[in-house]
Amino acid sequence: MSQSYDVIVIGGGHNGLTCAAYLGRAGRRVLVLERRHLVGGAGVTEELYPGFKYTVCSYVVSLLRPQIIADLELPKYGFELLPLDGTLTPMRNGDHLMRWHDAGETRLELMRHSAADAEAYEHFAMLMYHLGKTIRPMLSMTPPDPTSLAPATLAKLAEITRIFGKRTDYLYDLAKLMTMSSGDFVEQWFETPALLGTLASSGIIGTFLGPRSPGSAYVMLHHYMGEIDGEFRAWGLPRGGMGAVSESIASAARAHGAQIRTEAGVERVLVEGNRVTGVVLEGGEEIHAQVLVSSLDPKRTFQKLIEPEYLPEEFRTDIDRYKIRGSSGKVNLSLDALPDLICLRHLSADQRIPYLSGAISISPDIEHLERAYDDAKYGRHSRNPYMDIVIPSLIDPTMAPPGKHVMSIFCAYAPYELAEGTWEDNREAFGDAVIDTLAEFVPNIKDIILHRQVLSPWDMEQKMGLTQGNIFHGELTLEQLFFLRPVPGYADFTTPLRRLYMCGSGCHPGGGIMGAPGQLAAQRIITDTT
Amino acid sequence: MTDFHDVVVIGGGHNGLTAAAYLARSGRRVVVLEAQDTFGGTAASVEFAPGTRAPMMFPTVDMLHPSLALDLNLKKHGLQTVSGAAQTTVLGTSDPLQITGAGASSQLSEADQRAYQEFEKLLSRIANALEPVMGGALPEIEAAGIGTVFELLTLGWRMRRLGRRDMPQAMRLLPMSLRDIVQERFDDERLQAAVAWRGLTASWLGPWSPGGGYTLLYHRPAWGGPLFGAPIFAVGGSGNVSDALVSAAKEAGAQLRSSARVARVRVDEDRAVGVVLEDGEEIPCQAVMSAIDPRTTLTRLLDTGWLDPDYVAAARDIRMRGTVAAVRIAADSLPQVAGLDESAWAGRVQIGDSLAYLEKSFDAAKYGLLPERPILDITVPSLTDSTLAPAGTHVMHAWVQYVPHAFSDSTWDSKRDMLLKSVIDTINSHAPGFASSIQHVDVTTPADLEVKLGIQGGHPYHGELSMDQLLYMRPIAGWYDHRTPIVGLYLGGPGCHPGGGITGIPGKNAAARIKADWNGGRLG
Repeated sequence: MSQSYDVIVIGGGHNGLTCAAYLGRAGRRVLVLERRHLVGGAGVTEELYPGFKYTVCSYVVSLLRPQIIADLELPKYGFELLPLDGTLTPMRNGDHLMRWHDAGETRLELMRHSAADAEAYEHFAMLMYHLGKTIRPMLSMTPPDPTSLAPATLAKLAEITRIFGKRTDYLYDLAKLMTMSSGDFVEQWFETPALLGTLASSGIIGTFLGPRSPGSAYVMLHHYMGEIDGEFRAWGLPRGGMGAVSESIASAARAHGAQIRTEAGVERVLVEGNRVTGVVLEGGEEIHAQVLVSSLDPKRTFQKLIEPEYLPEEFRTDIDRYKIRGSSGKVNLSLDALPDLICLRHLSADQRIPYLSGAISISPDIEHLERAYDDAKYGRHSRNPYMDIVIPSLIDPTMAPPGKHVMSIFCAYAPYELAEGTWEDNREAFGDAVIDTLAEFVPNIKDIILHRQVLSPWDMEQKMGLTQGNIFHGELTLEQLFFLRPVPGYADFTTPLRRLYMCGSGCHPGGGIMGAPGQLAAQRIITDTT
Repeated sequence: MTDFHDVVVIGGGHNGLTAAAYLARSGRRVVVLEAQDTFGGTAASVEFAPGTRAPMMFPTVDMLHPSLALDLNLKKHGLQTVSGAAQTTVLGTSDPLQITGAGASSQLSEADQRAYQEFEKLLSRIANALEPVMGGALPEIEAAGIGTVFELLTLGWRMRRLGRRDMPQAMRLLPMSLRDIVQERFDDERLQAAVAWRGLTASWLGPWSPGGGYTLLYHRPAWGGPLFGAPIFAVGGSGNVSDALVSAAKEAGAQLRSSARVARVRVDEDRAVGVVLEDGEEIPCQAVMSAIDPRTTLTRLLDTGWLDPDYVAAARDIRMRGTVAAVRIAADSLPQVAGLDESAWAGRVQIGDSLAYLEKSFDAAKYGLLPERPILDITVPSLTDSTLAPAGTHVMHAWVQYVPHAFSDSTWDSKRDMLLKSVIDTINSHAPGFASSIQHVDVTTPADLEVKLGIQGGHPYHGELSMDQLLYMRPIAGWYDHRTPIVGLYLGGPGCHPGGGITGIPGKNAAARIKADWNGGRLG
């Protein structure tokens, strides 16, 4: 290839694609290099069993920035979100707790369990809404470097002070949310075990923390900040699976002139002195560009693609210390029929559909989650995992043949590092633990499984290139947030090497199908190269 | 007694006494009301056998803020301290590890020794930068006066002076888990456990829990020694500090009453106007300072009808689950551990030599069970202080963690002996035969702290030192300045910033606040 590029984007996940689309929109000649045969990274749809489409890793959208959807005109390229109408928590006693999208219905349902909880729920939802609003501006801001006394830093600090200054009523609540455990946080409000477990569970997704670990409450907010059409806290399922989201961003990028090459894994970054000049592909092909931006996680970028001698020692230490522990797995099922939940047996087949069309959370109480975490701390998968389940085929019939279904199960915990054995030996045992636990609530589950795919963190590393299988490219703990993400001094998408940038979920504001790192990095590159 | 008092101090522990001494010195008429028949609270010495004394909870006094000794002339009032050996020994399933205060150890690799020394330097620099906050009152962020701005700028400047490298490192360290902090620096599991343990003291956190960086710094204040420095004992036990404070407070004119349990704080029109004792006696005053735990003060001594429901809910939500028991042992010989010189007992001996050991012990307490293997932090103060026991007898103090504050399936009454046995078995497993040299034992459990000393949950710090209960959020978010919504009612115990242990800082800060409010016309 003799063509020259302004920017090469390493990795065609949703952040790489978003970055490419914005750069293309700004007139840059962009090339995206993706190692796999399809784009999307952890946001892909694959037909692994004839007629059944799996949204393999990432499965729900709530964090994708509305501005990105608008800027890149994603709906024009096939992006469509189908709202998930609520969350069902089956209880051990055969009862259930259902939180509907409709506040009035949720209130009625909560009343069945606890009048106090029904009362508190509205206040809680209001507080979360305000906390989300308070922190939302931070998501679209490049963090300042507090050690710098440059005018730009001071201006940004003043801006942050101004933003928070307008919302002083919520600062202490925000401080508590940032520092508390999700379990302690929700226990301040509620008493119903199933409600506590389910609310606390959103604090443990993607981070190796338990519901009793301080800091997990923030992760909860991270999941609460979703917005669909400007509305907070509604998860959405993309039509066509998560791959369709990636495809729509890829189409937008192409429309803006970006080239996307699949099966083009980058083996090495070319460095001259302290600046990067291009990449070498796995086959040996060299491609040069003015600027490189990596959407891979920080460890993969700096430990695999770049020779250590080009990086300052302190930076290497910080990258070594960057925590990127995988803690969750994914089980995808092809089902012959709909699951028969004990807690829905009092309903007719038709009546059950709305209950099954949202998320199903296996989180009967906080202790269930904490014990699952305890197993993982010592290097074994949870014997009774926590699960967040969706049945995409109920909402989007194109995902499975008529009458059949696909089920996506996010399950925790599955530690990347096992005390004994390898994931190749333990993968199916973990799958069994998931199905066995699920069978307590869904007795027919074993009989209706046509095909099962189990993804351990190790598999996600092998397949998607996520170091240690961490779905957020690095844990969302306080010491890895904002101006400390991924490492101190480089929260502004730059790196110690000139003309090399980062744009993955390892950057502020973090993981999830959010697109913000890709967008912010593109802005930074556009500013720097203008 | 119908004397009129300016300030009633509820609780004669070391913080109550400190506040009383400072207030009395500033000319206020103060009375301290202590429910027990002796003063000192958790900072007392216990005579658990004839002529044999040992500290109740806190074995050492290295966290006592030096300003107290100076301001209150505690030396004159009898405070005398002695140093043990600057050596920490770690026992467990591996060979014993011994490390000196300077971080030298023949059992550790050069790299680990160097990494530890570097780490100690980093801690020391951060502790120095944070000293005004950890050793004093917090700058008042709401009152944007010149003084506050100056304090905040000074703090910012102190942090900035750590340098481009250390400043973000410090900010990164505070919310981290101890496990991550030690694993990214040290290879030796015993060293990892020894450092982590110093940050876990009294906490409802395991090494895996975020927030350990802060608690590590808390227990290694700028005025204390290095992590593995020599334990500083008060002669006669930690109660010596309380005795000196009693003497100082009395000399300054404070009145001290024991066996005077406060039943209620009297409030009139949102103002504290006195207290009522359990026997019905009323003691009118201008201000009440409570050194007992904030939850008890705000929800049991007050008619909560006076308070904003959100504030009451916040007071009820203060987490104060005790995880510590103290075991005192009198024995006629020191434990004989193979390969360990007897002199090791003059320093600190820690039983629990890996992060997993520590975490598993926490796991049990988390679910309301006794751990299979408790963590023991042992000192033998009698080796340094011969006044504690008759000649030939050794007094041992074991800080035992993690024990549950309440059992999921039982009560402390039925578990006390089981705990004692587990502690003795643990020591005996390292020092066979030690059990037979034991003459007396005594134990203080979280239930004892709750029932005897009235600390809800039995947490010796009157509130866990977890990230959401620190600094501007201690004891209640936004109420860090010792005031409460009731004018004239102040909090001044370890449930306030900066926290527990024998520091005297909360009491001192509360006294300064009351003094300032008096001068500012809010009181009196």
